Amino acid sequence: MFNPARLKLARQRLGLSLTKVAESSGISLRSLTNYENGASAPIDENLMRLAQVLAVPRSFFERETVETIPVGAVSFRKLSKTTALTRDAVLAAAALATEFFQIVASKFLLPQPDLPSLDKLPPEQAAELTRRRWGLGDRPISHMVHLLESKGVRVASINHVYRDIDAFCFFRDGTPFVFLNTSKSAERQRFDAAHELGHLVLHAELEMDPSLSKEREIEANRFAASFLMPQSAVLAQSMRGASIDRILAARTYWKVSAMALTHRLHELHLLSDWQYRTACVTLSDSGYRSSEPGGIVREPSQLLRKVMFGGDGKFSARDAARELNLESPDVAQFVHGLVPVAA
Amino acid sequence: MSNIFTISPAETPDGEERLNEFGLSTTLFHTALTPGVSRARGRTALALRTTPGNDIYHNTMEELALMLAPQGWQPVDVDGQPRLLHPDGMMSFTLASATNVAHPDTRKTPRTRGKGPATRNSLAAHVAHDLALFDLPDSPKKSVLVAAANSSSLWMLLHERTPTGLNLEFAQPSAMTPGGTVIAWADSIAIRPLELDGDLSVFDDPDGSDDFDVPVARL
Repeated sequence: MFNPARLKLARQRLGLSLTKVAESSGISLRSLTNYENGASAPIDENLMRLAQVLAVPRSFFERETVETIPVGAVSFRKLSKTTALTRDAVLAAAALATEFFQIVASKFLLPQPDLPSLDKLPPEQAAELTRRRWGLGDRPISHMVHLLESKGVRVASINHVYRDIDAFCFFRDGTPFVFLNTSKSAERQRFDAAHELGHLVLHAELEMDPSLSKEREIEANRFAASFLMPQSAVLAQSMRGASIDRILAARTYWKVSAMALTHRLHELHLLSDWQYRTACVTLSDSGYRSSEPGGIVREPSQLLRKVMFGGDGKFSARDAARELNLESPDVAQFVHGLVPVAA
Repeated sequence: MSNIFTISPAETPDGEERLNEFGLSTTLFHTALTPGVSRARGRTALALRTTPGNDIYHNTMEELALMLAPQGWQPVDVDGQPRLLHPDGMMSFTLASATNVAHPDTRKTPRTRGKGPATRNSLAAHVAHDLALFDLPDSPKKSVLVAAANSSSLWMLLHERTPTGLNLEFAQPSAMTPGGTVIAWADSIAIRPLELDGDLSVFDDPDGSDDFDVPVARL
């Protein structure tokens, strides 16, 4: 039976407006609107056209409604720069990804969520407490994605088409989800993961009031910097007035970008304003603003590898696509950059 | 004011040999100084102005005492000035910050901060020691160690902070201003600067990777 919510989901995940779908499918805008609000159901021919335009099998429209992810539940970076269509597209894809993880959870025993909620603390203290609670000491985090996954966070990928969106996160039925843009550098991806962890730890209990978005983003950045580069350890590394060579050695040690490390040193009063500006200019001239020369490799997912490639009854992208009434490339998008799958 | 002394340039066998004659070495000084300098270089701009200097002074005096104790060196407090006394009493030395340390222009000699009575007395004692014929028979009784320190020649491990470490010199003071600044030196051994910026060992791989296990089991 046709489910109007599934039509909307299929349209939104491709970032298409009703007008655009009407143009592509040859179905009137009025009819499309009626289909989506449930006033009428499409005839077979129109359903086929919609399936073709929206790149899903017809059976996709007959599945149960997936609860959409309200914008208010999501910590979006660069919210103001994101168009409504883009935002709806990534949220629709995220809703499908949660469905994917739901199916995975029905077949596999996965780590249970173990995240502290520290919304009363300043970000730096929250980061330190989270490290302590997880027994991380003040050593570099060897692998952010694995760490999150081991604490019950489901990590998925954002469609690389949406380069403007770095990352976002939300809770769904008590399970934390983090979506990363895996087209970014590994260092950037790690910082994004720590930033989203900051939102989950600091802002889980809050409604995402758009007017406070900027403050939340700043807090999540402060959390990420403190979590990845703990103050006590950085202060023990002779970084006062550090040279570029030393900054580069330290960024490799902490597995962060040179720019993030430089900013951290300035934040900790180890670089003066002048030293900070000079270091930023030098790094920028050497290409460290837009990329990370000599950087580390991107972090893959351990959870998805075990699920999709484990010897113990693996669950492939094709299996997942079949169960979700999607195509394999759709599933591949959820895990792009996290496990090697054919696009 | 007389300012005639020998400079043994840094890293010459002569300079190192002279240190070795005292039972000292460049490596020993560098090893002793490194923790304090590292701590000082980790101080933020919010630390007190004097804190980095104190880090170097306190850490290094303790490190030197620990490292030299097995060879019989003794820590001695002479009028509030901590020194390390050679096992044979041939010399004692202390740590002092100064400007113009190991300055490339040899006309510029090190200038310490203001020193107190211990240094002044030591310079006087040193002169008296040289002029042993005029020793007074009833000189004041002090503890054996302090007396030994006083009668031995006083040397200073001079250091001056640079953006990346320390300039170093091991020198024997010979004269000071009325305000207590030592400005003339009877002897000096230049020591290779301590460069910490190039020492990146603190960023060595922290014991390999400690990956996080993500337990996944088929239901």
